[in-house]
Amino acid sequence: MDIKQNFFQLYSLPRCYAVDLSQLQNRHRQLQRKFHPDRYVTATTADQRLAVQVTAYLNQAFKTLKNPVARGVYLLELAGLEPLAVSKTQMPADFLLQQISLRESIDDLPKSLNMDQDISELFNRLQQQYKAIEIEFANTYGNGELSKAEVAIRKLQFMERLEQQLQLQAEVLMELK
Amino acid sequence: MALLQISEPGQSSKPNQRKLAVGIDLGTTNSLIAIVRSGQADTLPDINGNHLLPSIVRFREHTYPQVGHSAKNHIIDDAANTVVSVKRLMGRGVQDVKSLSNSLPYVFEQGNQGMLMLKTIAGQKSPVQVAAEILRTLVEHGETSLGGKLEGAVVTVPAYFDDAQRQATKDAAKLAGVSVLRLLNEPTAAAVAYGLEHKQNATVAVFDLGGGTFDISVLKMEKGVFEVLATGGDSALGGDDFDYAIATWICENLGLEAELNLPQQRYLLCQARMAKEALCKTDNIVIPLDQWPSSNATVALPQDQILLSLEQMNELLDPIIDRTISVCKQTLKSAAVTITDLDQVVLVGGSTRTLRVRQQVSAFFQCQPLTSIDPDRVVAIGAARQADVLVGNKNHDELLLLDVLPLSLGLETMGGLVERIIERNSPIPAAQAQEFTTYQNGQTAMMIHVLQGERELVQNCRSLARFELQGIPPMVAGSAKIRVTFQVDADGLLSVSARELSSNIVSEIQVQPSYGLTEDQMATMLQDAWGYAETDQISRGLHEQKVKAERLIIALEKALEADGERLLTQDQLVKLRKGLQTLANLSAGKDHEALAKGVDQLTKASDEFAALRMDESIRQALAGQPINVI
Repeated sequence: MDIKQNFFQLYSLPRCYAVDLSQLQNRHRQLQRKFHPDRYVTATTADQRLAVQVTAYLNQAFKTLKNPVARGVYLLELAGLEPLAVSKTQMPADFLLQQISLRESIDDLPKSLNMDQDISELFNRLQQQYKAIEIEFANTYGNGELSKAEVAIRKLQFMERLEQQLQLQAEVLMELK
Repeated sequence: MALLQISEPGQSSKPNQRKLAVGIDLGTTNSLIAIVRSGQADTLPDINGNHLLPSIVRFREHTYPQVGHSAKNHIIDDAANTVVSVKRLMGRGVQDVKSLSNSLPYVFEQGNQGMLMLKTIAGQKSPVQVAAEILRTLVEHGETSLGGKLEGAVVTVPAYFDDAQRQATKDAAKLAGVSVLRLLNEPTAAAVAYGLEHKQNATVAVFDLGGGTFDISVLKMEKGVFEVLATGGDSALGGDDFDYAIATWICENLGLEAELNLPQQRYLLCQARMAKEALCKTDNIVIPLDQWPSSNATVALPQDQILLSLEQMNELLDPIIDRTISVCKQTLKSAAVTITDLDQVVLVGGSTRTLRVRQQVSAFFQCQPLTSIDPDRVVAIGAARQADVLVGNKNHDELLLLDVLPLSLGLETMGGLVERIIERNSPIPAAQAQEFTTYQNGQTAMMIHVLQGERELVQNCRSLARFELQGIPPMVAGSAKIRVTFQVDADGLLSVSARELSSNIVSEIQVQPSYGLTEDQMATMLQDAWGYAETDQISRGLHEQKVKAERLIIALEKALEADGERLLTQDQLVKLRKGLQTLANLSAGKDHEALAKGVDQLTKASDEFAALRMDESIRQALAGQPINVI
């Protein structure tokens, strides 16, 4: 079955970067209640198969819209772009330098004299950066400056990865204490 | 357009006409069957009043096998033909078993295509056939107890069971003539039993240690919605390993170095188990060894008893229990839940009765775990609850189970690497497509190797199946676009399809399940199964098909009446109506194979109509959505 509604239409949400997460959650639950395969156990085989397809699509939609990076990428894909294509590796030089410096800070944490404080400061820095780039994306996308939006979403993906690395490093250091 | 109410042929759709749908816990050590009656969920006993059926099958020559307590009596004296803990062998290949074979006293043989077979006096038996015997017996007990035929069952599996193990469980049910409503994860079933009883909103960890499998699931329970946040486990770790550790200790302390025969291995494991259970109530136990099975050329024992202290046993069990605690840590992380976030910890499975397990679990989770529902029965009870809802006895709105995929699914790519397509802990049903291309000019076929697991290399993951996608139009290397779509259903079972995009050709797929039964093998086994209980099995098979056919006929008739004129052309309408008539005729006959084929054909023919209706259902669900929260 070819489901024609895009993820935003599925949840009756406007097609833009800002998403009301509690609305998303509630709609998702509502739709799950209606289409989950458990509801179709005594239905025909065809209906059962379709219920699986629809619910799988719902789960994909929810996962995409919930995550800011995936959501941004999806918005650009709907506009016909491929923001994460392998060929697109161009990133602004100052951003890359900043990434290298942040990564170094993460790697230097084991040597820190005030680990808890340094970790929490680093988290704050990353989160501030992250929010700033989100605003950059929302603005450029909103203004129709799609190639700038593409750069912004790739930056956001870098930030997401940095945060995951910091998370891992923090866990390792906590274990060692 | 509301969901169509479909009633069984011959039954009215009276609200108080309940369907006999059960929950079945097919355990490593014990199996149970349960049902909801008058709002109460209870396990069903056999004629002797036993609620637990030992998962033991003893094969005999020229007659039907013994299952349960009667089989248990022969674990030692007929070790070669008495199969215990068959769950540990489901969906496993010969290679897996080689690494486990010390702790599994059986006689293994390799069947066709590397399938694992057990050698018995009644011939080669696959683990699926053995499990089917247990299921058959459970169903018999159930139907006797309830005085009627079962509509279907929710069959539980360890959450950490992979695709091969799940498929094997479904195959066993099919052989036993059980209609599976759903494969339900054991920890989820336990959460349902507790959640519905306590009716609280909570974040819960279910620690399920059975005879051969370990699961830890972290769930959020809220108003009848049970959402699994993450699940972890080890499908080859359980109470059996405790027994093995103790038995090994006995051997070492007796200075037994020679290789023991099967009855001797079994004897030691039995004595080890008795000691383990006794040490729940006392600090020291003298393990009797006077019944040591001996024959002419075997090892004699230097003494006929040995003392085991609780302290010593704990030392033996700790490394095994530590493994479960590591998995708990990892799973909490995956769920993004800390120990303080948890409202409750629930213990499930007979092996959680071992004191050391309870101590370690309490220490790790920093709380007293819940054991108010019998850890042996809680899974079957939860399954019965779900069965009750699925089959329509209870309002669907009362229960929504949202489970996850336990192990990542991926494909083999160049260099023996695995590319993950669907990550573990993804909510199911799930679907994901990935595009691949050819690496040689003019390549017309592509081998797709599907795997499950978290490791990077093919050799370290579970091989699920191999597909060959044929008929790719010859092109320059790298220009073909092959979209492989993975779909996991609500049972956690994977289906894969592949399509070449540039030519839009849907090409042939030949599936070779790596550890599963092929269609042919299944057919042969079904034949064999009917061999010794012939008329009963055949009539059950025919009955099943008739139910399927009549269900399809009723549903399709109603759908055509409601939406046929609107959504279909005259030609399509006529074609479907003809199909209905054909199937109705077949349904009146006795040829169950022709009937099965007929059901398939009409299902395929009505696929498009079903899709149109589903599409409309989605649009109606979205239309007029209130902006505010429900």
